[in-house]
Amino acid sequence: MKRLILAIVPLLFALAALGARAELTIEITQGMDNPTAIAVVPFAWQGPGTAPEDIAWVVDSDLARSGQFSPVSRSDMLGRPSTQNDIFYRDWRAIESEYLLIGRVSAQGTQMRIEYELYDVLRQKQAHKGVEVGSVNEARMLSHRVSDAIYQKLTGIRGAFATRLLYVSVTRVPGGKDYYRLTLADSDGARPIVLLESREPVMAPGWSPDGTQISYVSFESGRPAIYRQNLSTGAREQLTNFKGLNGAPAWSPDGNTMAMVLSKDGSPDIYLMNLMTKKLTRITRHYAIDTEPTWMPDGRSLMFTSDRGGRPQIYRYDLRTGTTERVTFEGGYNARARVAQDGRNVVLVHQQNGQFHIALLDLVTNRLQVLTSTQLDESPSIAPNGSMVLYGTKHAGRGILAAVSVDGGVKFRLPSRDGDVREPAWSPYMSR
Amino acid sequence: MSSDSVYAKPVAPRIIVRPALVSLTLHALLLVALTFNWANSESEVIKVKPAPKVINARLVDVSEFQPKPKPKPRAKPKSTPKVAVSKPKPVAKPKPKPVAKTPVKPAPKPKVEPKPDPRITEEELAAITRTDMARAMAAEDDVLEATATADEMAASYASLIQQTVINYWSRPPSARNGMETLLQIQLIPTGDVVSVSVLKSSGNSAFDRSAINAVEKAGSFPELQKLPNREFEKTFRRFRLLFRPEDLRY
Repeated sequence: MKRLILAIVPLLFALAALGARAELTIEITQGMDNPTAIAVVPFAWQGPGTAPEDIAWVVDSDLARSGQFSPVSRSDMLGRPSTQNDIFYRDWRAIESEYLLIGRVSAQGTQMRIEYELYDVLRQKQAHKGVEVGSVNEARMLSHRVSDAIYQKLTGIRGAFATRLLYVSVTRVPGGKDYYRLTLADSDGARPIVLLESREPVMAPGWSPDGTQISYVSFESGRPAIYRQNLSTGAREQLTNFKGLNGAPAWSPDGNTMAMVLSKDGSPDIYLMNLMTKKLTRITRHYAIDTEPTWMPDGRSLMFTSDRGGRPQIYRYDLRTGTTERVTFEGGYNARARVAQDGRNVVLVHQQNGQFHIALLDLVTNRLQVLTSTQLDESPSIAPNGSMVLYGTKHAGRGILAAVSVDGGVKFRLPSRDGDVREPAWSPYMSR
Repeated sequence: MSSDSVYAKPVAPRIIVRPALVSLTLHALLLVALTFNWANSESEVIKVKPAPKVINARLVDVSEFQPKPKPKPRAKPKSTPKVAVSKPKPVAKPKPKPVAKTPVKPAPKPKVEPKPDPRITEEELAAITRTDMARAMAAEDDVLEATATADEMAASYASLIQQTVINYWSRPPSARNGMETLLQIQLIPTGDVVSVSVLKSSGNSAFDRSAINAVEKAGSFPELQKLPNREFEKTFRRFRLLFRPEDLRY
């Protein structure tokens, strides 16, 4: 018996060596991060006449602008399905489209209804579907909402297409006084609406956290004053009229307080105004210039620019402890900070080799990364989802708006119709 | 990985297989040990890392029996755990006959001996076991030899799969270093992917989808047709892909 067992032993060894292999696991730690190919087929119009807006084209442009997607050209599409039954996956696989977005649009009176479906071409199944209903006049905004849904589904990040921009434009009048305009537009620059027109400077536009009100500085009374304005009613209120500088208003995340720069007590310092009582609290006292306050998303501290160290740098003021600490150390000029909603990424103006660029400061790693290669960049404003940074820059001698993704990989310019455009302010998420 | 010196070794693809340990006392226990060992190896993971292309497979011996590592001839001069019994050469084992030769050290236990039992003594048994062990080792070496080249081959195909998938992997912006999605892939001998399933989700559906899409886009690894059928069945009929980015900004 024992002999038999002994004879088996070598065999077992051989088997053990063979069978010892567990299932192979291959580890993938790198990727190429190419944009995702998606085909946005023109949506079928099911109303009378022609469609008021090319919904699919708005979505297509949104996704392309994000840099995360490379939409398939319409001329490459081998079919134009608008319902699931019309889809031939091989047609879309043939042109290497990973996703397919189809939809139908109908209208009743002034109401419009967009039904859309997203298909995964590789797995040949539906990935998402949704409906947007609203006024025909808001067709573009409804389209941006479709883009938001698709973007969120495929990237895992909330979309910020259905948001808006504020910016200031200046029209030079030869031999006369310039025109200043404060303009509101969709996030793609479309549908601009002039909110304020003045022969005196308008500056520093900003948003209330709920997106219903805006703030800005206007010199219309002959000297700078801070105003706030309700977007739906148009009602506006002058908040300050102090001697000297009144500038850089910044709404707190809870919407109750506004940080601002006043020089009524000497050099420019940061103040907080309670918007209910209008009571002012001074939070910096320094003979140097303290300016451009911006709130951290938790509302517990503010960042601001100060030249108290000799050159402009970003500092952070803690509202609970009342302490101030310096934030930026790289380079001789860092100013005009704006903090992303994650509280981690800060965009600012950074001077490098004598030129002004937009840079991203990671508050966790303390790494500063220059995002732009244009010069004379100013006023960065970050999208509410933290993905893109809008800023003002110079192109062909004119002020224009440009955008760059926070990883620096995607850049585009927003078309500007008139004059010099500057000081963009990206809205928060808009409530419906 | 850094803690595991085996993985860190930037040597050419090579397998390091440590044989199951041998119990000197009882055959039955030896069997148990082997089975145990075998079952245990199921949890073994063969990893392929991008930089140093190393495939590491080893049989981990787990046993409470007095461990006696048998360094196989082609073993690296790794510091094998020092055990009570001094490192024996696989073959040339001085056989201390159980008579009364106490002085020789390597004799495991020349202790109580004189058993007038007509049956086989424990020492004899041990000796037999050792010879059989030696034979087993030799047999295993042959297998190892064969497996070595097979494994090297498997490793190169694994790295080919890896590179192909890397080229197709496009992460969503919500991807973060350290996220992990484990997929199970099933191939047919033509190299075509016939099934992709998520064994372990990262918790981020966009990230999971990007991993699946990378495989779906690759679609097929026709080079695997060159692989001998046995190797294909053994390694690539079903395998796993672990997606864990390390090159993202954060």
